[in-house]
Amino acid sequence: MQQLLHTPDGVRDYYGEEYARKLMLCDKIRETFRLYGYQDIMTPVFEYFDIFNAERGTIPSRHMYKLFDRDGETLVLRPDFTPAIARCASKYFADTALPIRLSYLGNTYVNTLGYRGQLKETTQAGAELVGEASVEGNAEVLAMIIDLFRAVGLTEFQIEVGDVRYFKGLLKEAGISDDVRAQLRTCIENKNHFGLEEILEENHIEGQLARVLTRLPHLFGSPEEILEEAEKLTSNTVALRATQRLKRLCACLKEYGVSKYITLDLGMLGLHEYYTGIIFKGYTYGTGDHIVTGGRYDHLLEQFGREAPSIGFGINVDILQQALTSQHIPMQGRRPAVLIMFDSSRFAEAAVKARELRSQKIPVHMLRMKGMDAAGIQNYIHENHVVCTLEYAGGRTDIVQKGEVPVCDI
Amino acid sequence: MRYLTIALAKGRLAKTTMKYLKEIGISCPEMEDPDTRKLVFVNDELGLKFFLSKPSDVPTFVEYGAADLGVVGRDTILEENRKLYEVLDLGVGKCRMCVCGPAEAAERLKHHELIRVATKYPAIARDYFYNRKHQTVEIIKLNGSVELAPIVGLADVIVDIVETGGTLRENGLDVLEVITELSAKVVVNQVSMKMEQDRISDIITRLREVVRAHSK
Repeated sequence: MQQLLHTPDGVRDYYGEEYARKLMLCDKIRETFRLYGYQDIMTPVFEYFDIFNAERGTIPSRHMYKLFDRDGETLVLRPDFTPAIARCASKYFADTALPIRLSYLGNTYVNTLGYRGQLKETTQAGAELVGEASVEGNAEVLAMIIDLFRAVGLTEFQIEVGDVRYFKGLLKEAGISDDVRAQLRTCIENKNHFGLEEILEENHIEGQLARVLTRLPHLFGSPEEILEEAEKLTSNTVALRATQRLKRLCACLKEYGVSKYITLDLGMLGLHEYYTGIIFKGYTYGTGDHIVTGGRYDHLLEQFGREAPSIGFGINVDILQQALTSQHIPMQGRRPAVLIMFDSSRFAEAAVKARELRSQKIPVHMLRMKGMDAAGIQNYIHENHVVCTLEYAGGRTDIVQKGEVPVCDI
Repeated sequence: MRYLTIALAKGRLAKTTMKYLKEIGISCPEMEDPDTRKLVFVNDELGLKFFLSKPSDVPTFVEYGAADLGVVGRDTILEENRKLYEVLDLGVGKCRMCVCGPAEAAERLKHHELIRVATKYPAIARDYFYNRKHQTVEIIKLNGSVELAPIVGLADVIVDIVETGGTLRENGLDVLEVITELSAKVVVNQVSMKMEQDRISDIITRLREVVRAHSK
């Protein structure tokens, strides 16, 4: 019979140095969340389908893993965290008018198409700032993301910020149908200049509105230039309020000392109606996909019975780790360890030494020497990040030491 | 300077693209050698790499950032439905995606009845029949010589690219419905567009001028 050892398509095992690095990465992410006053929250891996349905989530229903419980209720493995966090915020923090800061780290499950090299189980870390509508709140979230990326060792990255109210304001004034609006949104989001012109022509959209819409796919780059052009392009009050808020946001980010990581893209609209204010994505080299995405969604909590403006983001930890690896950024994985090799006759000595080292927080591997060949031991040393070996050989009284005992760094 | 990588769809389109690029001062002498067996061509001076791939793979290379830019027909972009920026229409390789078949099959497209459709483009065919025509169809994926299908009785109609319609007419087939117009597009990886904005925008802006000059 053929042994079944491999995992299904889209899920994988993590072990060894790679997993140690991933855990370390998660620790640093959590640490940054705590420094900004966010409390950890854990929600179940599966919940009612309705929590994540169309208006609440960003993942289409057909990409969710669905199951049924005994009562015939439809459950899904969480495809995304935000709706679950919103549910918690409404349920447990209903009485407070003050902001709530929540952060999470866990796995999400999206049933993507096969043969695309995408994992179906991915680790997401993120935070939600609930009940805070201010520009300062937006700045806090962006500054936290930037601090987080710097904490894990990234140096070259960009956070790109847009505001969907610029686009929404323009279209509302013009009274454009939902259907055309969706088409425009897709073309602008994909920077499809040609397709955009076609739609404008077909629908007889002309004048100032047509001019600003055709410029939208190109309105990305440094904040000063983009805002200046964006303000010249329109006299729409909603759109201009959006640029004013972006200006104030940039000023706040300057106070946090993170301006150099910020660019604007007013053509970034998100493919869903979900976002109501600023929207952002983070990019770096070494991965073809963004590493963080988020924005303001002031109406999500209303659906769970509580009105509270909120802003949040999610980081794809797997893609972040992939970027760090491909940029050759050193990541600490397993701590350096000591290998104690002993013969049974000298176990007492070896055990005393192991207790002493472990009390100093130094990882110790114990290995009985009987029947071990040199090559096997070398291999063990290599695979387990051993920097020092202590040999308690039988029939002798000395200790053969190779390498220096590491110093504990935590 | 980081290398920008450009993926080109093998064939006539790659040649036209290189011609256009040459007009904006981007060339790759390595590529012009007809006997070369290299897979990736480099222009160190400009910091550019080029490679040729099967057209249907160009969007994949660009989506994952293995190539920063790509040039490929819109048929492939629609079929593959990848996350890309579609930034420029090169205005070449113009043709149409059509439903074709013997003239008598036209009637079967009118009454939402179940028909069989053979195509190299199952995603495009499905989107057209399901979402635009609301007609239930059985789609049969073929890999070439799609015109054969209605002739030998494998399918009622086909969904395929039509350039001049010559092959169709010779085999007694007609264009029954036009799904969409097609031409070659420049696509850009979404991260590259942001991380290498200056260089990519520069290439696109200058290419746009060349396209404008040619279309006059």
